[in-house]
Amino acid sequence: MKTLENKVAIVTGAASKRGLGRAIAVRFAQEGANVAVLDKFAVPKSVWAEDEGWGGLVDVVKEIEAAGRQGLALETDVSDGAAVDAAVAKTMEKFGKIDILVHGGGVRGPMGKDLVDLSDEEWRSVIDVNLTGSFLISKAVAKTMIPDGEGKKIVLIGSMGGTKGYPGSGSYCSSKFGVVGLGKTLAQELAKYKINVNMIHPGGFDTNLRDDQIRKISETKGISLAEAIEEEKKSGPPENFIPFGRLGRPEEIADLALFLVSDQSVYITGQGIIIAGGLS
Amino acid sequence: MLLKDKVAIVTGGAQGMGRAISLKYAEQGCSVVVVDLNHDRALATAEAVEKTGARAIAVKTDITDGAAVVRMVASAMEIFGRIDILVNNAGGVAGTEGTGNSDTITEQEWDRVVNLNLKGPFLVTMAVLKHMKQLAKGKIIFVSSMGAVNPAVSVLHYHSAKAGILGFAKNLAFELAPRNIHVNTIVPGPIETTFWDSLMPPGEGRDAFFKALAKKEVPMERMGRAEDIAGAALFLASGLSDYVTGQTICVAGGQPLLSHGAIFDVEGFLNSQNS
Repeated sequence: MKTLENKVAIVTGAASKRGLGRAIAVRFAQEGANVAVLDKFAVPKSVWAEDEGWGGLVDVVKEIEAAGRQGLALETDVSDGAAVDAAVAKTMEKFGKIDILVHGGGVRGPMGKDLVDLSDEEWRSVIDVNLTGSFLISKAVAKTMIPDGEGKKIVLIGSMGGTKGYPGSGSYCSSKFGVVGLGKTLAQELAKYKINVNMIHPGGFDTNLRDDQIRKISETKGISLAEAIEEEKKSGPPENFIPFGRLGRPEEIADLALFLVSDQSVYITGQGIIIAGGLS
Repeated sequence: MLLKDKVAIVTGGAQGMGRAISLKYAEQGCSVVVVDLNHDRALATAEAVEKTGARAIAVKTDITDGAAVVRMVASAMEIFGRIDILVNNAGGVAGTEGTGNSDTITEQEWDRVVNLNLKGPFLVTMAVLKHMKQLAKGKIIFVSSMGAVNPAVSVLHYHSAKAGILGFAKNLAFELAPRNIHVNTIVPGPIETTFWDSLMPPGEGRDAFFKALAKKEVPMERMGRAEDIAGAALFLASGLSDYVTGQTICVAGGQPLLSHGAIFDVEGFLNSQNS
């Protein structure tokens, strides 16, 4: 029997071609789960020319179906409570239950801007999505889990930025530290229902969050995206800073997520696991 | 199978968590070198491993004896030709008189327990690393203890050694990442194993203790099982953790989360059982 046979999962932030949400959703389907995929953007913009033609959520559902399972595409802004409740209701309607939530939806927000220079709006835009969004989706899904909690799993995607501060990324780090507080509290509150809550803290990954950085360089310097990509590369290949000497792959986050939603981790809760190729 | 054609050394593999880890690995296609001082039980574990169709040997070894450790690793290499995984699970407080608090601890006991729990894993790791470096890959797993950071009973030597393991593992992970050798640590919470035998004999009293401890200290309201540790050990030994190193995973039913720290009065409970 496959690891996630007969399970139903919700994965948020799942529409980007090179994002970790897509990798997780497809991996879960390959392991036997039906998967509802959420994203604020049905077809997110990408800065990479080779992503042209990517169909976003719809294509992820096709990949889920190619694995022989059912998918459900739900364009949802996780910072909007009513939208979150509606998406969870639609998932329940289609699949009858939710065994697994992996919440990966988030934004990188302003970078290279010290907190003293950050506007209220910039701060709130990141906290709203990354922290309030995590609260809203966790709450909505946990409510469906509680009546029959045993074996159900919540995984929140944090960040290395949720384990230490990075100058110039104050709103992002604050939001991700907030996710840690949310996850650790939720883990204790849901332990009595035998629901596990854990966090994954990625570092050293080349996902769509890197797009935000490139877009930002393009905007602030008034240069094209192609020029911004070259500019970003000048800071040196990221693998220079990673002890393993290479970037991580979204599939490797999917591997860790699989462990955290499998039967092998039933006594692990409230934990944050850093997956960063030796960065710490 | 997650560990097909791999070879693992599991120290303290005769019983408890080490046995559960050995069997979990075997189910995933891994050959196992069961290292323990208790040779009869190590043989029994090796036999159980072989029943799953995997290969196993039992090697009686005192891990605090460097020469014996080198001989053990040489035997493993001779029989299996490679070592992919090392689980530094052997350790404990067996033989400790009293609990090892500041009233009862002695210099001799300090040396003995720290040797077993810190120097032993150091010696085994060094002997195995020689071969992993040649393979240019490997997975090393240490087993620390919740008591190293959040003690529920005072065993000074043991918890100091287990805190030492955390530092040793972090440094080793840092050093070996460029060589593609993964080093991670499992921190077990309250697990029902033979570890407790020297502190409290099995029986109704211990069952009552476990129940009370779990209710008060563990958010998931149950003691952990050796299999719970084996699940984490499988993840850390397998390809599922290929981008994870230098990490500490608590397998403790949520226990480390408690903001008040451990407040269960273990010694008081033991005294009430004895009187």
